[in-house]
Amino acid sequence: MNFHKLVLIGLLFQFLDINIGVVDIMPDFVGLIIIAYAFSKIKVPYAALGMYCSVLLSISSFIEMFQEKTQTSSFYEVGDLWMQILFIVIGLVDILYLACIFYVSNKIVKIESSVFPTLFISAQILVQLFTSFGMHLPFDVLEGVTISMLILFFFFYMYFVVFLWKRKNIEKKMYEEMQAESH
Amino acid sequence: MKKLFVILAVVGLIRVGSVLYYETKLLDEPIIIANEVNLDMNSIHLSYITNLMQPSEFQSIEIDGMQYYPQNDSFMFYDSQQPIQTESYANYTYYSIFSPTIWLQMDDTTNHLTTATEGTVYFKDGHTETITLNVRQRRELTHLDQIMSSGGTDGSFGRYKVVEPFTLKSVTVPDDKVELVSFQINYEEVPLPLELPIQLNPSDTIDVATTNGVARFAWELSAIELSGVDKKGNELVIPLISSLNDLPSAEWVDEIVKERGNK
Repeated sequence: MNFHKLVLIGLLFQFLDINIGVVDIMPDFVGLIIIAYAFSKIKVPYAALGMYCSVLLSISSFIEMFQEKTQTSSFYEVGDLWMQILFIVIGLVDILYLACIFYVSNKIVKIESSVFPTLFISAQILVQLFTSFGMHLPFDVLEGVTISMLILFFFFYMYFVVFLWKRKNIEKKMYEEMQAESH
Repeated sequence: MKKLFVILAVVGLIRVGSVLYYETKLLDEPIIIANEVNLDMNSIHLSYITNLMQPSEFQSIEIDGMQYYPQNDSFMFYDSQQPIQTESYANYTYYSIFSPTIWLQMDDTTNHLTTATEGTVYFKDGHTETITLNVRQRRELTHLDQIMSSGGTDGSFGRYKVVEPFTLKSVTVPDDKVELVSFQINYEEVPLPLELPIQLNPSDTIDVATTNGVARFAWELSAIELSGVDKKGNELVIPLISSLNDLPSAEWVDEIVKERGNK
């Protein structure tokens, strides 16, 4: 089983929204379950945490599918305060889950460490912080910064896929070498 | 990873604190800031401050037992009671101003509103409020023809040609929504207030320039009044109408919320 390959497949479900009528045939929660499965098959520190985070995000994503879509910004949804806090917790769990992917990946593929995981996680934390401060900024400023952030994150996620793809190939090669050695 | 747990815990606390602060800024009910029944334009205008996120939606206004609904601007939904202004008029940090307009289709309906004094505003969230109506009566431009007009954020300008003689006694801005920047007759600046009446004859030209003013709702107008007497000696007031183009400032909105919000 190739951990990176399963994570990549899981991410595909998250990135692609292919709808037939109103039904998303590649729902995000399925992708997260695949990633949870990938974590469950690895026995390294924080793999279990990664699995729990993925399951939690999967449940949240499943519930979200049945929620009414509003036009309001995701920066702030007026409503129950506990829902707001839950929304914050899910945002933080999302960062933790990404950190677990990087941590487990580094344990599996013992190559020279990359600066990308630190950059990516830092950017995610900055977004969380910006969300806290941004909601108190004038609307036009908030809109401008949000668009810039979305563009930046598009490139971050593109590189994330490339990063996982490279590691998938290294992991595959490792298994092949291990199999050759055992023969 | 342990460092990350600490960082995420701190970030989580900041975010919860931020949400709690945001909650203190939310309005329980919309605040109606302006209204106008415009008999010239056959329209009813309303303006209210509401929360930026999940704003209160205007439903209808009841005047003398009749309900008036805003219509969809698109001809596809012409005259239907489809909702309508989903776009806000102005956005601020925590609040938005919405300015729904009801276009009245028949003059009869508008005539019915000439003497209206009160209206009840209904919002979709169940909030209702009775307001005193401001009725802008029909005021025709007499003795003058408007031959040029322009308006923008740097002010408004209008050029008028005299078509019937009259004697100009004073120039005033009764609603104080704008300030007069320039008043010219036949391209020459006239100091105000007038010291002596001025006789104006056909083909004379009047140029009026004003500062821009704050429009609390879309289509808010301002009037400059020329007072005088016609050739028969009758008193007359000629309104020179211009549109306002500035949006209310964030400070003004905050002040209104402070005064009238969440009592």
